Amino acid sequence: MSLKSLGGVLVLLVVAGGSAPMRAQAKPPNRLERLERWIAAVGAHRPGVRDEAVEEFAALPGADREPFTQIAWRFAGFLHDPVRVGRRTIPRESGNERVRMQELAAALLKTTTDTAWLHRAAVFHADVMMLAADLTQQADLEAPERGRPTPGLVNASDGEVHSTGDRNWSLAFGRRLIADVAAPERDDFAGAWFHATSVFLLENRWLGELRPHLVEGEQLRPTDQWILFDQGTLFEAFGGNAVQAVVQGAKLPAGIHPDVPGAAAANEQAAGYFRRIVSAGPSFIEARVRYGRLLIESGRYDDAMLQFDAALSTANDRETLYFAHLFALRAEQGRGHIDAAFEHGRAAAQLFPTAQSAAIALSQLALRTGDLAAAIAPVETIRAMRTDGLRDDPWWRYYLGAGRASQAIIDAAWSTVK
Amino acid sequence: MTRLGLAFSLVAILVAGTFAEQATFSSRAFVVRVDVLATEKGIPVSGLTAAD
Repeated sequence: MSLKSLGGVLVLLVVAGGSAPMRAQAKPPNRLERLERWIAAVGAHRPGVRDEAVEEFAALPGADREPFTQIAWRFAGFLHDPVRVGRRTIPRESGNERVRMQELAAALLKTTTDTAWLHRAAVFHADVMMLAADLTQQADLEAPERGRPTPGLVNASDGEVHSTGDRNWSLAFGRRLIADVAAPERDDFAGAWFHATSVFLLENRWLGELRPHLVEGEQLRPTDQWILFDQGTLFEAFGGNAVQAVVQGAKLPAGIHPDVPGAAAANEQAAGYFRRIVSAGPSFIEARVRYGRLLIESGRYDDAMLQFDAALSTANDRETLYFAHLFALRAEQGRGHIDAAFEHGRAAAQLFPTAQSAAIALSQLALRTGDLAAAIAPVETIRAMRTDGLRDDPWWRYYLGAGRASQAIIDAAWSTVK
Repeated sequence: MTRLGLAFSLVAILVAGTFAEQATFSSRAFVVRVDVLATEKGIPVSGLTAAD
């Protein structure tokens, strides 16, 4: 069975659910016309809105993407300086095209700067990915880019591979644009853009998309605390039972394997990222809590408790406090401090009374002490709460990392775009 | 059977009974999008395309 035949599943899903607008045109725009449409789209786009331009570029056929990105990249060079323009060539550029690009760049630079415009363009391409990925996937299936190596992505759950796909070209192009600002390592918006797009990917568990995204983000901004935090969260997710189970159980054709690190290696990498954040400064409390959890995974209970004690003395966010207490229960249990472990468990349960993770942790702890009544009580308490399954349990959101608040992060980042 | 072992068994039975009686506790399956890698005899193969 080939990847292509697996992709048939996705064809059916997308076609069956397809309500994509048709952009039937007698004659597709040439690359210069496409460039002009793009410039107009970037200028008119309201960040966070799936408008017609977002849909148009999301649905760009695979064969048209390279000619478009080539001329758009060349055009971005005209926004900068002759040196950068000179390094960016396109096949068979006509004199008319060159003159028109110079005119378009000059017109834009009367009202904005190269960096401000690149910010807008990067937001546009992030929105194309975040708001209209369905149209891009449909275009991938209808007219894939031919002859180009395509890293495979699979969507899987419970050992089932539901569909295959390609990396989102618009996100990759957005990265090129954000990397093209004068000094991305000092550009606050470049960091905000990477974080906003990363939390979207985390929230949707598009971990295969996120991996190269953050590699490039870290290369551009090696000390950015949020990029390091998102990296740590990504590898924590890789190391978590849920992803490991999905990956190990996925039924794939012979010779095709999930490219996900094993749990131990993933946790080690995650711990490395959180340790870097914690070493750089004590104020990033959630990084400290997550680092502590990973120390428990390697049996370092005393070191873990140092992190939790520090976090609990300064945290004021209810979810972060919950995680710190929940994990401190395990660390104290590992140290043999059963009373202290119970205290942390009760503190967690008080913060989120309907959370089953704290109840189960308390129950398991009591079970280990041989106290049957105490083991049953928290489970009974949860069972008796008839909330029709609508329970607020932070643990369910833990592996989303900062993706737990993705919309607020994206809105805040996009609101700064001029 | 030790006291602890008996306790484990009893709780297991009670909890199992609870699940059967009423789906009060939640477990969640989720879809995750991850990379796949083509290998031949255990060695990664580059240039995997959608047409493969």
